[in-house]
Amino acid sequence: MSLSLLAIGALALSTPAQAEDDRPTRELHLVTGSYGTGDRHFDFYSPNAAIGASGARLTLGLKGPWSVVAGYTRRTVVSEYFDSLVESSNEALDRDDAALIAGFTGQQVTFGPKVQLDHTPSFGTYLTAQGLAFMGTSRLDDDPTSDENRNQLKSFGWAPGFVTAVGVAYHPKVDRIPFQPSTFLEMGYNWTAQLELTDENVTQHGTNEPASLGELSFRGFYVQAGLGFQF
Amino acid sequence: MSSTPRILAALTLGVLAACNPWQREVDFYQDGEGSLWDANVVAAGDAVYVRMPRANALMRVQTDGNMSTIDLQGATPERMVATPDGEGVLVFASWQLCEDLDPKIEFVDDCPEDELVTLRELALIRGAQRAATYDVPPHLNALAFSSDGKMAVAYLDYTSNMDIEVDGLIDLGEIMFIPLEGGEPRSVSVGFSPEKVLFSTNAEGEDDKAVIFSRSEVLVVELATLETLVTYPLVLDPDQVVDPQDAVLTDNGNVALVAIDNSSDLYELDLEKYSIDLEELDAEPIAMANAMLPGINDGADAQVTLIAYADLPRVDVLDEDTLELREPFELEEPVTNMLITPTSSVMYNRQNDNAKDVYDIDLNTYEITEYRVANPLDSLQLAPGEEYAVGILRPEYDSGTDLDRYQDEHWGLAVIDLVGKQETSLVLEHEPVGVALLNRDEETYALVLMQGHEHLLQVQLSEPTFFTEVELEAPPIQIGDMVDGRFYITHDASLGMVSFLDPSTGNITTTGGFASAGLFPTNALPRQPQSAQ
Repeated sequence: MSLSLLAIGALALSTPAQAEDDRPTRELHLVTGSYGTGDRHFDFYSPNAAIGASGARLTLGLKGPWSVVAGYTRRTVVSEYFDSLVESSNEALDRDDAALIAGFTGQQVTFGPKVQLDHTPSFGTYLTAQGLAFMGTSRLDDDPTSDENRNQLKSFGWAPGFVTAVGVAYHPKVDRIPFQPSTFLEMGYNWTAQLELTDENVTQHGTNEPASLGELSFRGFYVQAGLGFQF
Repeated sequence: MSSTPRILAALTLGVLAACNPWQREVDFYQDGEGSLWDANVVAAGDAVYVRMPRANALMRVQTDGNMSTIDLQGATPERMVATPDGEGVLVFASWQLCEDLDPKIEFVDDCPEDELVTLRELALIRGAQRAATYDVPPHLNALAFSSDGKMAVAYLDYTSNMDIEVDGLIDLGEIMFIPLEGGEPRSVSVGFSPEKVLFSTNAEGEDDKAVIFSRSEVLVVELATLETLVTYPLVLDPDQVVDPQDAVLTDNGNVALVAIDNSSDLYELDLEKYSIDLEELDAEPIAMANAMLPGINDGADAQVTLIAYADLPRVDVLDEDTLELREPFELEEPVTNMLITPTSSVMYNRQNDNAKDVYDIDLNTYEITEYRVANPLDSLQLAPGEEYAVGILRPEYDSGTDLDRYQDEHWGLAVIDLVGKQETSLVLEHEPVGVALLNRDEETYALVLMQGHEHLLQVQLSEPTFFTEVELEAPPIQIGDMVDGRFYITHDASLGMVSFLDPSTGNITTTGGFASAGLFPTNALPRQPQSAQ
């Protein structure tokens, strides 16, 4: 998907222009990566210890080796449970369809500086540290055959955090096009505070507050690759 | 191309790539580890209480749709029993404690394995509050209540191969008296393996003694002092062992009748004179129940105990005043269960597939009306007003031919009109998960829930072949009644669903979604002293 969109975008944006001698200071990348979750509760949505995510990243050059990076990634994972999650003294509850669909959508917005460690015309290494806001949406549905069943529960929470990473970037010089291809690969650590999900239907004991589903955090190593262009 | 349009076009491209507008398919197929909720709920007051095993929590779901968690101070509810007044719930709960009191230890994983212990308590819940807690030995897993509901007795209900938790040492003969209206619980040692507790009343009708049936002996404990008044040995030779199989107290509470496993002897324990008598019966009793024979003693009522046998087509009648057998009820087939009303007794057999007779015995005239149902009875209950009896018929195999065989192979519903003296055996589409009976608008209805069937059948008992269906939001699991006359229905819905049926209107209100609360429980040690948490 990302590559095809990139091609379409490149085609749409490619207008006749004079190639500039100076390297552009802006970069746009489509990114994809894998982010460690490090939270056993995330098993409910995914048996994997990491969540893959795709999105886009914009880099604006500042002064010297410094630039500022803003990114957005998003990913939904969905698990289906076939066996009933209801305890009963009846013998095995007879089911023809899934007992539960559990989906989680994570959206992450990052913003922060990037510093180029060394620089050749086409290759460089860098460090980046970015603050982030992680928004999580849980969707639970215990009758996926119906769109109108009572138990379609959605809950939302967000948490701040940060990422810090080291990366390598490659910008091959291609003459006669207004955009210079660009790619990068970075690895680092992502950390979020506890993200609390609540159930608006249920009140917590002794209060009128919504009951908590519990907390999730996303902490672990991540790897991210990007493909885009400089302009 | 200027830089601004370039940036806008590039951002549009980025948003398109990031929004991922396509519908997501299922990524993983998983097996659930632990149930989200337990459909065996307990009704108390205007709510049902729901155990949530994954969240280690207790949920209160009210008839008006309100749902709230109950604060058990971090303890995990394991079993629940409604109090006799129907307004509270006693919850057997447990929690883990780390005996290493390092303040840094906050989570179970922080605690060395050999320092981790499980503690238990019995919590009394009234409304949304934990009204009281009792320190009950961990092996006591069952409760009996005095008839006035003021006293609970915790005892060990042992089942084969059951895992009994021993912390140091335990007394397998221990029972605990728990005053539910205040006061300290107190343990009493009552022989070995006490399995049944009955309460006798004094002349004022108040419970004054507990009669405890344990292996080879019966003890009587005075409730006021919790002192053992008398111990009745059931054998003279200590090498002999007998286990009480069933016991009843006579209506005046003066005599305990005890049937013994694999014995035709009936022990008659006089609780006033502290004496034992033995009645030699013709077979081992299978069931005993108190009843009244109206006007049979020269116009006076006679209080009797009816005694049924699995192998004898007869019900003996023991006069509670004289402790002598009166004229028995002679039947065509043995019965194992008896439903007693002030004027009659409805008897049936739920153990023998070949015994399909239901007897309605007029206790005044000894007149016996016999009904024959199509399949063996799995259960039978009397409707309010006692004009109808409704039973669940279980399938039987390899019997009959053609249409008989079809009926035999299916679950069914037996409707017995005890006034019109008529029986109708109906075939059900699926296995029933519950039947409830109610009166509305001068009619009596049976509400039938079937496994996997998203409808509630309302069978009008005066015309059993006439029924209506009420659609449910999910397949039912269980039906039960509440103190205010309403019925609750639990459903097979993973995120929790309970319906409440108002019998006066037939309206059903459904509440759901409560099982998502506590989906991600912390692993914290809930009552760790000195913990920062």
